[in-house]
Amino acid sequence: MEDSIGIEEIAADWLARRDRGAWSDTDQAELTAWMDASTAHRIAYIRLEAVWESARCLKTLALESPLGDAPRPRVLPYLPVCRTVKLLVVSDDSTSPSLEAEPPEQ
Amino acid sequence: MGMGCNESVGRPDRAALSEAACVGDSLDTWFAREILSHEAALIRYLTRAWFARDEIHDMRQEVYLRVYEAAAKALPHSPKAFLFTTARHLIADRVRRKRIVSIESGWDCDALDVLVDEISPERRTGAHQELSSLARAFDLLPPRCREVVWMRRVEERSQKEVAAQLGIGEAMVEKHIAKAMRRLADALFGCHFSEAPTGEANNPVREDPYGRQHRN
Repeated sequence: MEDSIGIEEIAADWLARRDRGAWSDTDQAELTAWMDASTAHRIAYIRLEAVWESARCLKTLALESPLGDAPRPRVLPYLPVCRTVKLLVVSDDSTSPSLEAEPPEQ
Repeated sequence: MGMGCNESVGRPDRAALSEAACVGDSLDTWFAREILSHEAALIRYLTRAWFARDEIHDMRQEVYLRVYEAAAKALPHSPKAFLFTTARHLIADRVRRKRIVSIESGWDCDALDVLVDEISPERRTGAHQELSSLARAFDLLPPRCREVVWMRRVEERSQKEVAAQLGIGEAMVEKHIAKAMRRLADALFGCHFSEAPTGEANNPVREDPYGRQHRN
């Protein structure tokens, strides 16, 4: 069996390359060939793709963070996430979560 | 992990899913939702049941492979139970192959069944929990990776724009993204770097559950 860590690295390279944009039919054909070559390739790709898709949800977190032009936070606002979102939606006051908030559990 | 931003997405019923599974993409989706979501428990299971941590990454791959190939023929009724049964069989195979102990001498497969319930309590993972996991995973990224992910995923800038803004090459942006994906996957699905049992808090090198070492 191929080295699983090596496969994971190649899968990540593929996803990052696709993320670059300007994705051609040739690129897609090459990716498909790589994925079809081994189920292990396909699984590594599915796994990272799911994660990269889910990273879109960072935007939900960003919505409640009063960033403006301030530098990006080292620590995103933590729980209670949903409650915070609602709070910010329904109230005008500045109950914004602190950017320094500690995670509730580690 | 459901990987959705909201909770309202219902599960398709089993019949619809089986039908959909004829299409390659849908099997992939099924796999991500029903199998990958148990990765954390799977890693804990393998780590406890197997002595060689540097083999866990390969073993995870092999378990996934067996599950995926079986599911391509017929979807298991209980994906989670099937996943852990597959893991147990893999361990039994390896034990046999390595002759660590003789099966006849009483190596007890049932002990591993108990372990599954213990390490994998049923828990509801809602959007709320996913968001907080994502936030934690994001914060564990190295600063440059975090910045690149933020600009791509939140600000939705192109890789080219990110490169220009940060004054680095596009190839470097791509590298950061590839690295970020792997780190996020480990943090979200399986292994939590911060939980590695290294003992000393100021040890500059920590080990992830796969036995790989990372500098703090």
